[in-house]
Amino acid sequence: MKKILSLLLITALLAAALAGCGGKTGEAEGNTPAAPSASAKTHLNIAADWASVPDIYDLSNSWTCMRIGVTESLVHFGEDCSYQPWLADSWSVAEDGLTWTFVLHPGIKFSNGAALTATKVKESIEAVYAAQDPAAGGAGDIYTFMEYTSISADDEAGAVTIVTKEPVPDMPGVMAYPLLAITDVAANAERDLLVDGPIGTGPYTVVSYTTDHDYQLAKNPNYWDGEVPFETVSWVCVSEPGSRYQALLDGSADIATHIQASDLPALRDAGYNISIVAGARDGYYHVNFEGPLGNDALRKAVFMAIDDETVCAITTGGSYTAGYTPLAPIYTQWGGEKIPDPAAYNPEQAMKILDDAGITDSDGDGWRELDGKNIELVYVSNTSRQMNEISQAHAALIQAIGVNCRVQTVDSQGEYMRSGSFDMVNSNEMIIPTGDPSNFLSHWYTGSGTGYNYARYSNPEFDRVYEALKPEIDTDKRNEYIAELNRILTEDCVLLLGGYYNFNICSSAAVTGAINPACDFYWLTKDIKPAA
Amino acid sequence: MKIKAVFSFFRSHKGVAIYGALVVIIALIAVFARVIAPYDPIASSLRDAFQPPSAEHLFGTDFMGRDLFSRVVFGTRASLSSALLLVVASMVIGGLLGIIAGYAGGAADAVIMRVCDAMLAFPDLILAIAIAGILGPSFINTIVAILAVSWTKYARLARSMVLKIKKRDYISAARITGSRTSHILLSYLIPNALPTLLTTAVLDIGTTILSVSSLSFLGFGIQPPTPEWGYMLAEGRNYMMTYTWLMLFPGLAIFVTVISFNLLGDSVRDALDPGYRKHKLRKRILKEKRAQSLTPGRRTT
Repeated sequence: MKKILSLLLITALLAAALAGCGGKTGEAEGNTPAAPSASAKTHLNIAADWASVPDIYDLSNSWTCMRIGVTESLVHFGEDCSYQPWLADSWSVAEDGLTWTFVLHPGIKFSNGAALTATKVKESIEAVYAAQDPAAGGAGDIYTFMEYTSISADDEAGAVTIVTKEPVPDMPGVMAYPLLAITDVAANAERDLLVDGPIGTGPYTVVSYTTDHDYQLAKNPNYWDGEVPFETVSWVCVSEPGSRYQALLDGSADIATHIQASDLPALRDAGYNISIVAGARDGYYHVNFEGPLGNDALRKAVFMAIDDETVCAITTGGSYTAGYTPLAPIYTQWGGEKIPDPAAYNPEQAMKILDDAGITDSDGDGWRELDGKNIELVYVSNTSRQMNEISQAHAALIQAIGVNCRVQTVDSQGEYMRSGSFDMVNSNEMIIPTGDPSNFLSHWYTGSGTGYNYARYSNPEFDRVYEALKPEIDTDKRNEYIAELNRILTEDCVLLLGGYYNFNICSSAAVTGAINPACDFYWLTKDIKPAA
Repeated sequence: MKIKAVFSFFRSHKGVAIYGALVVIIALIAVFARVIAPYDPIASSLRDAFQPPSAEHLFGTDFMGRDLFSRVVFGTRASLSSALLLVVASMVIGGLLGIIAGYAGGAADAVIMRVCDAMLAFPDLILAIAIAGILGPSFINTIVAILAVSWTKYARLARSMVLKIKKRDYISAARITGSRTSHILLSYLIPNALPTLLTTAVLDIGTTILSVSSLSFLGFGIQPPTPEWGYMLAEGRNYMMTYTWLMLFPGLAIFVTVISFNLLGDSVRDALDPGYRKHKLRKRILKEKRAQSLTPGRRTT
């Protein structure tokens, strides 16, 4: 009897669960976004896809400090990725092309009330270079952007002068990069930086941080650029896109980042604000030139087997826009729209190329061989930003032309990249980290070594143009070189593009100003305000 | 005569018959997956992705345009085979080690039981995740990871049973009459311990299916594109609000299978375990006595 009762109870529970799941697509249609309350909203809830440590001396974690509105830098990227004043009002370069002077905006204070002086800026930059110094065991990332011979500070004039070792044409962009955000080094020394966060000049300060879970932020009482709209902010890491979507729907979050494209129509219909930017971030694969894909015919056939339009539009639900040039055609100055696709989707042609190159299935096992050996291409892929779905779709399409291919899902691809244990390894990268793609393009420069040139690509023509680009200050000339590099990489089928990522920030009607910037360094800003 | 006895057993143990039939159906689905599934579970058609359930695709299609019904049907193979393999291996390894520990005693007992204690000091799934994380994601490594934490239960059970049985008179008699240790183990100890171990094993299948699915859900188990329910759930969770069927059907498959094995395990325990039968009988007699004592006019002096 008891057993029958248990069975009935379970059946009833299941029926209830099914009833819960059985709603029509996009439950949001029945809901309305949280309406602005009558009283002023003083607390903001953000469901973000990450909450990494507030480590201002680490390349990727420094982004977090800027995204949560704690740190700011001398220069800001505008909507079109142009250089805009931020902590610095202006900047100039001397005729030698090496001496840069940044003049600070007067009256700025750190969140602890200390004045932002030229000396503080100098100390902040020096601290980053010291922490990143490869000779002292540092990661050395910042040295790939710029190396200086001296920095001097003039507190009276509020000017910082940096003399670089070599010409750095994108110097304002380098100073806009989050790793060079300005913090109060002396005050930082008294804090446990990885828990308490740095002392910066941003609109918010860190109250508490729970590792990989949440930031509790409070208004910076000394903020220099107008009134800070919210007294407190909860920035919670919700790693599942579906859960972030749900958090928006049920009102537990006012803002959510990276909502899956398939869920966006329901949000849009329900009146939520959706801000999308495409082009600044590539979801792509480094192709290992030291493996089977070093064979030109095989590589071209593999590229040709990829139906990128379908993968981007259907498999990712529109989270990516299809393309084939490393630098998206929306950046017209880099000539993407003029470069023909050398490997447009054509599986029949791909198979013909393989047959002509003698890459055939001679042992009858269903898979083609290269030089008498079975080919098994390995996609090393993480799950971030739907890259795993793209990898699986690619693998299926490559198998369709008779080339064996499998996906190896990993948490982090870094070790695979450096060791070369891959045929294709995914990356999801900001292509214009300094407003200029030269750092991104150095992935394929032989001078970068295998620690950055993961593809082990070597092309003297590419190297020659890259070396010409590096010191060039003239913008038009730089654009010419970049366009040339864009063409070489495309024609050589060097990087397999998954698509241009359509990054989004969604917000309820309770807030305004949650705008997704072209350079995704700025998420929580002073411009996000309670709806009037 | 034997068939009659089997029918008689099923008549007196209806639970075993009903839940056994359910399990047999699930096993048949696994065996005849190729006949039942209308499509190749791995064949993708990207342009047909996210199709809702229809006559063409009973459970809809997933993000690769693969037929979900076919994947769920083929997923039965991975889940059942891994669970059965694991339970049998755990029972054999754990059972043997437990029998050795119980019968030999001394240093062997101390070493085996301390290893058991050490393994039991960690939560099962967490330890399995750690092992699978070190070994890397694959079907075999999933089996090894779960096996590493699941044998201890059988070892402890077998040891306690052997300790109880070896004090019996017939074991002493066997020893006195000069029976060899192997004979005592094979003829007396193992046959007496086996029913309890088997009952535990059947009860364990459902939990093991959940463990395998959990590891796959977390990405430590069977790798794509092989159909496996746990991994299918993981693939569907990103779309759970929009394409509900991607999680619903693999979830239902796990639910139905686990509950079938659990109910069968319960019924088998009722039928086979004499201790449990006696316990239930005692409870029933006590209940009846209490009822009798409360019935007016039937009070005894």
